[in-house]
Amino acid sequence: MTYVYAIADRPDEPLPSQSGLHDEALAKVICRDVVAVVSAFDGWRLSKAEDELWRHEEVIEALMSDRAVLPMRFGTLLPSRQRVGDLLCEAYGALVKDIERVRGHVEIGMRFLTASEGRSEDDPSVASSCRLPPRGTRPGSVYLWAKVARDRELQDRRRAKLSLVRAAYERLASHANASRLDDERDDRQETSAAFLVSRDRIVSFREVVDEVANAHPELALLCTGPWPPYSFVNAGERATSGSDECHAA
Amino acid sequence: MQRDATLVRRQKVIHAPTDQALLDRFADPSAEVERQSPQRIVADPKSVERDLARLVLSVVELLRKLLERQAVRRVENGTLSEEEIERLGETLLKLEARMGELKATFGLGDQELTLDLGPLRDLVSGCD
Amino acid sequence: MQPRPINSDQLALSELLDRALNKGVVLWGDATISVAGVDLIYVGLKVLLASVDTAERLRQDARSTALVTPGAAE
Repeated sequence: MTYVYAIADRPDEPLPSQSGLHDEALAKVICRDVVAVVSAFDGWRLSKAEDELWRHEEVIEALMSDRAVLPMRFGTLLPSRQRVGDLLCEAYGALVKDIERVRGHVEIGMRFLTASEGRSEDDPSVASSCRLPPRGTRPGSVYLWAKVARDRELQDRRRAKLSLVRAAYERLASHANASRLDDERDDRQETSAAFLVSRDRIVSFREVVDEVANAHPELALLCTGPWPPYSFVNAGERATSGSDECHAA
Repeated sequence: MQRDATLVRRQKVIHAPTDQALLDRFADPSAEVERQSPQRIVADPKSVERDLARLVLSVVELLRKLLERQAVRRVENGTLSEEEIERLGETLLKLEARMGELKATFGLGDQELTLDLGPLRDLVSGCD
Repeated sequence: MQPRPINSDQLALSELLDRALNKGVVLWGDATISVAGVDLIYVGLKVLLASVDTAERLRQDARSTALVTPGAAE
């Protein structure tokens, strides 16, 4: 099988000396002006999972030192290099566009926490703070109305949190070429954002992060990076310029 | 980006809270792994039945949540009569109870029945 | 006094997990799995297979290793 790390430009440039997963050598699969960076993958040799994740990341970062790079999702395995080449050519147009968009940029990630957090599903405070009285006396109605009340409470909290985060997010977004905001999902409590920042503006972006952190003591911020632009590829699935928000209306 | 691979792992935090308690809430990879954990379809011959049950129940649980979400939307929109609300609620109530029994039978918790839909995740997360 | 590098590593790993397992380019291949002679098509299974392995081993690693000992030398 063939493991794919990234898709990049400048197919004629020599690959970095970095080795891939399981110390396999990196190789190229080229389609016109794009190159997929791959290595042979022979199955389920055991190794520390964390190391594999970092190895995947290290290959991508080594490529980023002199190319525009689209990082692959971890674990992209295809049956053969031939197949990789076919898929590259099929997706060629979209890939070239993505490469142009990310060239010269890195991703910086933010996570926002507000004071009141808890697992929405099981959080007892959600039930107790529901303002609607139970409706009806029959079991089905009581059950369903309770669900409605809980849903409304969660939506209110989500809205409140989003408005807290928004000012901070938009300040940061104005210093980035593209940004996205992911509202908390049912399975995770944090609101997170990603910013596509030009390499020559990384330093000033970091300063803005500190300013924003100081200006918003009600938020806890975690800022990490620079990362390869994981959040800004696959344009068909997610909007990438301006902000992309998905939250309960 | 760092060329020196040994530094890669340690140079990623640009800004973090100084309060350790807050930091702890951000940093819990085992919790992250729990959330991310996708489903193994067949682990080994001995656990085939349980793994299959897990797969099937995950799908059922997903559908149940989607149905419940739809029902809540309809109730909120005011498009249902009281009788319809009672019937829907009763059915969902029974479904939840039945799922509870099945989970207990196979010794499966909610965490193990969470399907990560990847790009389709937003369908379940409440975005219309 | 040294800052605590341990939490930095955990934070970085947590962020990497979120990116590398959930985001990035996805190339759909023809992932066709057969069970008892019946073709079941599960798009994205190839991605899931590697991720299952990683997620599972990360979970085991986290449980079996004393990961974070405050003040321990590295």
